Amino acid sequence: MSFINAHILTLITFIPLVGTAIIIATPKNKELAIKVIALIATGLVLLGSVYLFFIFDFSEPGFQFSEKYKWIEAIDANYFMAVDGISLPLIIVTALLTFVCIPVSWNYERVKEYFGLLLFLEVGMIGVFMALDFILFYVFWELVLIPMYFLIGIWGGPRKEYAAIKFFLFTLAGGIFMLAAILAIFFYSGMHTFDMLKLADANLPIAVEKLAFLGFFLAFGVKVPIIPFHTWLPDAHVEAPTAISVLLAGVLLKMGTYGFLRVGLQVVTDGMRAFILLVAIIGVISIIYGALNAMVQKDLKKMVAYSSISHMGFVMLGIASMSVIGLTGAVLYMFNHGMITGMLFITVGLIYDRTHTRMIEDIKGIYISVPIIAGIWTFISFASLGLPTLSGFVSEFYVLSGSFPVYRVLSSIAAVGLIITAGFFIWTIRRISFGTTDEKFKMFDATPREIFYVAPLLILILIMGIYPAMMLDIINPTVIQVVATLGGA
Amino acid sequence: MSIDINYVFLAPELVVLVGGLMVLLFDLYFWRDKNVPLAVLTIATLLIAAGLTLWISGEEGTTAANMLIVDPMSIFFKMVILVSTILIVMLSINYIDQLKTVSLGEYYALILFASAGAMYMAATADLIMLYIALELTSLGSYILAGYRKFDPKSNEAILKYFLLGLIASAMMLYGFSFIYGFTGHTQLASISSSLTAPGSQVVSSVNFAMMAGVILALVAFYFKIAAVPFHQWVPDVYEGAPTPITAYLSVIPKAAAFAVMARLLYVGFPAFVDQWKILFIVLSIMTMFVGNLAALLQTNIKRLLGYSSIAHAGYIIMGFAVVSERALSGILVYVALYIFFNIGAFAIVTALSDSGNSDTLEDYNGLAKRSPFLALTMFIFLIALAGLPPTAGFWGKALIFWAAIEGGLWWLAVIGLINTVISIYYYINIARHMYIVEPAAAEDIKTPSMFRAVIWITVIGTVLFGVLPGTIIEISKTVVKGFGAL
Repeated sequence: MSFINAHILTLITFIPLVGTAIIIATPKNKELAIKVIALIATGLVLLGSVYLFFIFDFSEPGFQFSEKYKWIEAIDANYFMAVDGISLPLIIVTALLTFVCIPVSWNYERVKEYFGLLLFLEVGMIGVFMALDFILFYVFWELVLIPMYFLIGIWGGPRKEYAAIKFFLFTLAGGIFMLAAILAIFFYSGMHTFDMLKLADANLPIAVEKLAFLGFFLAFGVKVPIIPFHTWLPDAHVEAPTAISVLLAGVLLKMGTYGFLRVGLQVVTDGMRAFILLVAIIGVISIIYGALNAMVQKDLKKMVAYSSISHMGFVMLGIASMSVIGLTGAVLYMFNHGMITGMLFITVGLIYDRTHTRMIEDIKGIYISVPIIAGIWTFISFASLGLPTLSGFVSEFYVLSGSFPVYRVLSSIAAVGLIITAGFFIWTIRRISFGTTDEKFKMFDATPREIFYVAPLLILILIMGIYPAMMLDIINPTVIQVVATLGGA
Repeated sequence: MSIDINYVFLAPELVVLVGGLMVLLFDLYFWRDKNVPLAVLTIATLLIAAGLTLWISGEEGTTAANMLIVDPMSIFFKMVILVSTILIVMLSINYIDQLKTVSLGEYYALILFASAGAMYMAATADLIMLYIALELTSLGSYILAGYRKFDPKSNEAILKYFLLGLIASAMMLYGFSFIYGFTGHTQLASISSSLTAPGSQVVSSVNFAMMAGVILALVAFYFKIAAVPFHQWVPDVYEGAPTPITAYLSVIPKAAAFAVMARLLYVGFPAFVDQWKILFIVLSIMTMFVGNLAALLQTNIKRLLGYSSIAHAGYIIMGFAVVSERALSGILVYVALYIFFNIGAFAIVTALSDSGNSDTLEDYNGLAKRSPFLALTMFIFLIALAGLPPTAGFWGKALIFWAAIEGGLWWLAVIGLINTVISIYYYINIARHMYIVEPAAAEDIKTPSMFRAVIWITVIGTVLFGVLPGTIIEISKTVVKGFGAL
């Protein structure tokens, strides 16, 4: 047990890689075996992250379970992984969503390649949230791109190739500027380390911090995505298969906001402080722009995609507040939004499996034809628009109450976004739920397999709405410490 | 005056040359056109040479009247040249059977001679010897480029390569005459000390003419590494030459030329550092952009990889624009790791053309279904060529960009990074053909064992050095330490 406890982070990160290797070695036609391997691998990761949750010391605000080995001595890069209250919730949500995605994509084609890539993707996604060495962080960051490109490009919809390459080039271009920023920090700090924690204390010239922040801003901003770098997201979501949309919105977008929290706030603090108003304004523009765009969409999936842009704006606003409540809200928002958006995409997938259309005006009367799915959709819409007792509300409340004292006008505008969000979700519920379903659709209600992967997420969303302290107790101590180091602003 | 010759220091090159002669003789008398024995003899020669090179790797000194130098830098490049030559010979074994040209022995012998010339290039610090070494490697490569002699394209390749190469050599000699005229020396170290000697008139009074000499002397090497605007021969020659030779041209003469450039600049002309910095900045920008933008338009994979190799030369040249230890060690890491994924990519191109496909991108459609092995390994090579972690291609690039940022040329690093993004598009486009587009032909592709061996070696190198680049970076740092005027 002590071995597991000491290497828990490495185990969680690289179990999927072992899974990929086993899948590569398995013959192509043994599809069931491959699926089971994928299920076991992601299941182990989920178990590991839940175990991590239980052995995590809630009272300790700093990093825990750190593992540090020399990696490339010649350039002072280390293998340095650790978790704190900001990364742990994201690791849990990543593990959970990836596990859920296995049954979601049970019937996809080219099984061997698909599950191999999916597990490979998980390595990068989890690694990003644990890496505390910039080179390692960058490696994991880029590691995500390649499987994602194929997952959209092979299993996507009609314009999959366009969507996949757009996603790839956008995020890669952003990531490249991050590399430049990392190298600049390394050089100007003169500390001969890529260790984020040490570089956080570095005394960088303010001009370097500003430039470095702009580099990071491009990398993280594309991923979040913030206006105006968001255009890859609707394309990618519309074309991607359901499971990949879930991971894209549930995890990949959080990599961007996590970057702002970890690197922006903690490493290039002064650089970020110089542009903090810009971050807040862009956040609010994303909220309003995303919500308005979601409202006019005819495609259900595109609507959810734009609602994601709007919601990620709240996270940005929470981060920009640089206050304890706002930052706690931002982290909680990332955790909750991962599950809520994941569920929204899953439900869109459930409806699409039956109707083979995602056009809102074509889908009618699901309350009568498929009541369980309609119920799920309603439940999750309400969670997303921020109904109290569901998890979305808590995080939204935290973000707004944290940001209001700092940005009164901007927060008030952001609150308007809530109304628009409520508007389009409720309007959509009315449009797709009532009336009578077209005869040509073969409607059947949720199967046991579907309920199996939907239920845990729904329950967790409810629990997080009623008892958010479960996560807040982890997040809060860390955030208090982070804000304390931000110091006299 | 007695000429002091240390034969131990000469041994690796001598072994390669003697091996080449033996291949010719054995071909003539015992193994007439027997492919495998001749190839084995060639590889054995190269392995012995590599062993000898490693054996003398701790030593430093000169031999043959100071014409050749043994130092960590020359050892490093000799090893790069020998390892890549071994890979190319392995790649040729399965390929050469279908060439239907008369003489196999000459093919292997020419490869050995050309590589010996490249090794001399890496080891020389004397202008006369440099010219001889360059011609030895060039003449071998010219003939090899035209080895498919019944193919008009191959004939075109040899003619273009030969004529342009001659012009480049002539310019270089012209430049050498300037340098010799002003300094009275042919040895780089003497040239350097006469340039920097107190009261030296050369730098101050005849700066311009001397500078012209330096630039002209570098032309032949710009030509070899295909820096823009000396790159025009690349697409046609790469397309026309037999594919293993294309791989050869993209690695071995280039590595040798980079070794020469490092020595010329750092040992011979550190007095002109401010001038050649600007020169290399301009060249680097042009080379990266032309290589990458032209590659976007290619539909033939050999031409595409040709332009991609031009772009790679551009990244490496950036290392010369930044004069620092890190830049030079970045160049070494780049060149050393480049052989793996570049030869790997060409190995797959060779394997595919060997199985009856042509070299257009359409022939890569649905490769993932026809041969998952080739598609996956090709994909790893493409990622490495694009310079993404965690592959070997990342580190050379990262080190050079890093050096540029440290050297205050951060904008040049940004241009390099933008070029990396451009290059992703055409590399990933090949991946798109392999994985997303449906195949035109359904039959599986069989890969002969030697191709598999080369691909395995190169893919392991690409991934292993991608995850654990520590050793190679460490080696490059020790090589660079104390080299030239650093």
